[in-house]
Amino acid sequence: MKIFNKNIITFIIIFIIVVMGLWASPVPEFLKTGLEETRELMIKNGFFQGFSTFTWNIETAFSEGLTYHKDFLDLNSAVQNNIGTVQIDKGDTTVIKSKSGYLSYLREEMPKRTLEKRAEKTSKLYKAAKENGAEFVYIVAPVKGYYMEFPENVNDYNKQNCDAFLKALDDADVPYFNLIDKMKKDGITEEEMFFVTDHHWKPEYALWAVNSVAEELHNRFGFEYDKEKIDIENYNVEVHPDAFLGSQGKKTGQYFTELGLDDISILTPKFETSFTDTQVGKDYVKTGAFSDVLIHRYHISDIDLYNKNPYATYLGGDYREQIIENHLNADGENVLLLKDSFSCAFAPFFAMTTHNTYLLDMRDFAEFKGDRINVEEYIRRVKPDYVLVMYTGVTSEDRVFDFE
Amino acid sequence: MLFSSTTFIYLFLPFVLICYYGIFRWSRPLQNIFLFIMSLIFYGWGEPKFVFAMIGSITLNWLFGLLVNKYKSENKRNKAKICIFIDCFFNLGMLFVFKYLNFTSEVVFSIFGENSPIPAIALPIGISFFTFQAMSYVLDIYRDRGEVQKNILNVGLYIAFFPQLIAGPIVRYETVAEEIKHRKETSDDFFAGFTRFVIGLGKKVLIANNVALIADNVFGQVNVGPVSVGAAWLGAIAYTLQIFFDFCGYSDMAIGLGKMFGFHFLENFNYPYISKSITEFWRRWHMSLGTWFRDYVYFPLGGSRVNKSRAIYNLFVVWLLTGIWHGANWTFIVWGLLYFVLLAIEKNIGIAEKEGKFINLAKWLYTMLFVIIGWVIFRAESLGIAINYIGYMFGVNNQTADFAPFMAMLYQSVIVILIGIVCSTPIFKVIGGKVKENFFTNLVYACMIAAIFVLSVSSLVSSSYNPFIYFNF
Repeated sequence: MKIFNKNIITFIIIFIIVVMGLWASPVPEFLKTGLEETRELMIKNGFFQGFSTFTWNIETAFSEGLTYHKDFLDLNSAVQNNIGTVQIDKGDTTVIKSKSGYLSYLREEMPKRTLEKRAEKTSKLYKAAKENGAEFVYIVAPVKGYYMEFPENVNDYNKQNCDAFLKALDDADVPYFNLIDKMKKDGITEEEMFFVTDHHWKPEYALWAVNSVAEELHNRFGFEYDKEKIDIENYNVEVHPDAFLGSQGKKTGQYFTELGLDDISILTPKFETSFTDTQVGKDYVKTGAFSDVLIHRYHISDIDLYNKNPYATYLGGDYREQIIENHLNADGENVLLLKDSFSCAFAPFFAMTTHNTYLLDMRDFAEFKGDRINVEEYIRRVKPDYVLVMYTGVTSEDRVFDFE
Repeated sequence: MLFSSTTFIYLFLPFVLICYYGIFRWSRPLQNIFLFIMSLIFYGWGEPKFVFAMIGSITLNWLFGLLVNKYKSENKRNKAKICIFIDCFFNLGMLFVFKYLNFTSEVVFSIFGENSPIPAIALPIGISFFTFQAMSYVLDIYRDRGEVQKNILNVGLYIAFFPQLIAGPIVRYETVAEEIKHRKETSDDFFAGFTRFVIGLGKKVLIANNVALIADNVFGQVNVGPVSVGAAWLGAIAYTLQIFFDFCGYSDMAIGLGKMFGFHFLENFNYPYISKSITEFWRRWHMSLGTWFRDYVYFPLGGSRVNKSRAIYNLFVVWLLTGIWHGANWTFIVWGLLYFVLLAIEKNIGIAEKEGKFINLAKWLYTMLFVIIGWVIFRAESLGIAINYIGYMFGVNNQTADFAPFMAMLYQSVIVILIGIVCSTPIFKVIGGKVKENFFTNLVYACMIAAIFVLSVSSLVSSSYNPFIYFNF
């Protein structure tokens, strides 16, 4: 056998590549966390269920724990982009690329009955709000993929699901305000509103939404607010170029779209502000100006494309229950907002128009496992003047409609 | 567990190699036991309950192997034959229960207009492969093609050895009987096996997984409505490439891994898409299955050394069973019988003898046409959908279908489809044969294989889309 046999050279090169992937990698940390979780699950639910968690944790460790995991993700994204791929399946979700190069989540058709049940639950909440003297509006936040054009072989049901849900709300007599229609009327395209690599709206358009919602509440119910406080002209706009690889980009790799990374703006008011932000159940209370309380600069302080989420600069991310008190608007209304992550950028600006903004996020949070909030009781206790529900499109998570 | 997974590449395989060549190096029995245990872990990784089915199969076949050997040595061949019959009954019975019971009961109850009361039964991965392999053990002992294994763990190793456990090749006992105890691992085999493994990984991950997206897209669309002629052909060609690179890639990985441990499995594919007849195609495609049916079914029935009508009957039985082996659906049966018809015709018109430049081209086109149509039937969820699909390929009932999806899919797939078509020919083998080996050319070759490895792993960490067709068998 020759010393420089091609197969030996091949083996040596690949051996080095494999060792590089494991050397000083976070695999041991992944394994430690995963095995602890497995042990607890096996004790609780038995061997077989625990075993599937065990294998999943091992597989995650030896995929995401490789030192060059992010580099390989980027490499694959470049390859897939160049061979014309428009769809990457991640198991729990599929990311697709629009004709304009924007990333979006592929949505399958939602069963009509599911949407009807959600509308019924919302209707019940509406009645509970009215019984407690609160005005109610369901706000349909824009969803990426409603107007966007995808390749003709991609069957995305974002628009169909949304329209079907709106019909269900109509049939259930739930009052709603459709921001998707509003954006079209205002001549705003999805490419303007949304990030390329993330499913969220840009902060500038969250502020646009605040203006739209405040105006709508004023028109419907006489909601009073200071327009100057939510006028973008009265904000400093601090642009961070190429600082944001959104959730969709993190799944596919940064080169899956030619449009590259996203810029993200941090909007801070030019005028005086004073807020208290309370995260209920987490021993967190902070008082100060808008920039100190509602902007969390850790997420934007340095660029770490895969480990940081600059969008969470606004509000610090998602919490189960949060109260924002505007000390400079003591005569303002008290609003309960049932939210998803779109409200992270919406709520800080909306709080400019209210006295108290109560935020409830009905998704599951690990620290509150098994402990659900009964929204109807919450309304009876807090007695808000307005109850708003604002979700983007049609979420796949049924539990956000479990208001009781 | 899959070969095409980072868990296998970065954890399982290195661990097995280190222990095999390190800790257990000086003891063949310990090496075999270790490989057997790791094979069970490999098999049970996805669904541990199926390990019991595997262990049951191993135990049963080991017992019958001993019995057959005992009766044979006592010259009680009839008793030995009874044992074979019972062994086959249990093996095929297990296969029937797990794989065909639901389908059969649905067919039977539908005759009476009823729904089948039998709940869906989970299919142990690779059951068709290891069942045939297990029967091969007992049959080859009877045929004096291999020594009986008194140690159940050696039988376990033969049946459950992880390289070929879940998707073949179907390794005949006579092929590896000697190697279970007396194999010789060489560095040539080890490194060549490793390279083969990486090439197989690339075929599966880089080609098969990518064309699969288009195939799934089109076949998914056909379930809902018509597709254009272009889209239908694109989907059919994509699936033709997917199934080849999926299966051939896995076989390469299996053969390569076997070599790394000193086992020499027979080849399973030999560039089937260059075939100029269906007869030739089946001498190049899934050769381990073809030869299994030939040696254990066709020849015992008399093969072609009988009168014409009997020969056709024998052919019919083999291809009916081949179709059934692939799955519990009428589509597989029709697919198998399609090949029966074509092969019967070819045998009668002597297609193999006809030669000539244009004749060869015509033969190749005819072969590929029927192979592609066959794959459409194979892939379709039902016969009705298969018929519709084939109709769409020829412009039947799809005049209203939108052309735009075809153009979109063509743009998304043309590069990988062209790569697939080129790689399905022996062009790289021919080029490799002409290149003079020196350090530089070896280095270039190694870098290319390493690039395949890197691209494959980058694809694996990026996407969880890793379908594997023959897993269902």
